[in-house]
Amino acid sequence: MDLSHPTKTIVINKSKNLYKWSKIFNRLQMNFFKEETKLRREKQIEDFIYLNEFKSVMLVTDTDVFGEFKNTIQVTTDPTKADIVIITDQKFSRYPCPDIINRIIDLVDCCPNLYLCLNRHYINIDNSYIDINLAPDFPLAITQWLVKELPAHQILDLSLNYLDRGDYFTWAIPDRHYLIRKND
Amino acid sequence: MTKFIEAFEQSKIKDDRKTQYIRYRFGRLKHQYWLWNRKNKTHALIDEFDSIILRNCKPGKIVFFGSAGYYLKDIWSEIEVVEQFPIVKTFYEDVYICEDRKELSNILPFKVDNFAVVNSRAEHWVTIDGLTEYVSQYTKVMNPGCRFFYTLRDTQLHVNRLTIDMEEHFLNWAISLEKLNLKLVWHSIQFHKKIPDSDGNYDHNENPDTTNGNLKFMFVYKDNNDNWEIQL
Repeated sequence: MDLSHPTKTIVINKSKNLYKWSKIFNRLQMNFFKEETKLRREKQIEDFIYLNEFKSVMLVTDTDVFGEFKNTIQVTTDPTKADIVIITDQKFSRYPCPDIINRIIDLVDCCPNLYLCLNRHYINIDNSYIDINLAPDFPLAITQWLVKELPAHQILDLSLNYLDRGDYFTWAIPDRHYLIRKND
Repeated sequence: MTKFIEAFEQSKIKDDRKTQYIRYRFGRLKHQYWLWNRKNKTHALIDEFDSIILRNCKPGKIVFFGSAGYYLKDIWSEIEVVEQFPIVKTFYEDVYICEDRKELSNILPFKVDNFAVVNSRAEHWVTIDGLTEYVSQYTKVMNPGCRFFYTLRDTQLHVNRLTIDMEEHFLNWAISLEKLNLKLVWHSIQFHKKIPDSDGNYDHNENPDTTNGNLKFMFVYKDNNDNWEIQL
């Protein structure tokens, strides 16, 4: 096949970014459904805040979640003034493993409660961490890793356990949910 | 009343064309090239890695599978395009639709000399064994000597990311495809090496090339004498 005769002058793209949808992932996906839907994980976090009467909340998000809910709570951007820090921002999962641990320690030093959502698919993003003693089951291995690396903290895994086939809205709210506090 | 859902299967999806199109569109970044190029009568923008694939194709049939290859077919009409989602046929007539890879050899009326699957979203959410099964279906339409271009993203494949050296894992898998008569000729496996800045902070970027995938492989099918010198 002769590829030397294109129908147009070819320009190889080295700089123009393709459109990504990450800022509206949640709304975009919920609009696919016939019924009015809401992400259960989003509701879980909102109810967790409400039912445990957290008064001042720091929300770290990267897409369109907690829309109306934000108006019903006192939101702060300062972790030292928060009762709880909620992180659903995917970027947190993309730090190297030791850096995730250090960031957790720093946050829990500032604020007594951390509700951390990690995207399993980004963990160990740089392939720099290997611990063959962790469980073969990856979600369990993530929890074991946190428990092992944070001996001075309580780690409570609030996640569902399932095989992710890309249909669980993980890029709206990540799938691994942990409540992290300092040991008493 | 609002329904709370955890996964796509838990509620019915609208079946109108617009919804189907947006579902297709938001998972296929390269569709954007087709949209851009349609509006330009003289110039066509093409992806850098797609240009590398085309530079490395041998004479004969070229197929892009599940990779928005129709944007390239607009420039080189000889390129054949296979897509898995019927919605594509509504905006681009000249494609083969193959929803199930097992049907591929029945759907394509020819054998192929160059076969490319470039970070296809439908390729993801399986283990390496699942990938092997997909690839075995592709080989059924390959002529001996076919060049096979296969790229993926590590973050959307099933692997225990904490207990396995992923670079070794994916490279060993690619080498293992010799059992399908595919000889690995070239590969690029890129995990972003994170280095702290002067304040000790790390970046939170994804692994390189979210468009084409950070796992890139080129193989030759049933031909140990191909003196292919990869042109990058």
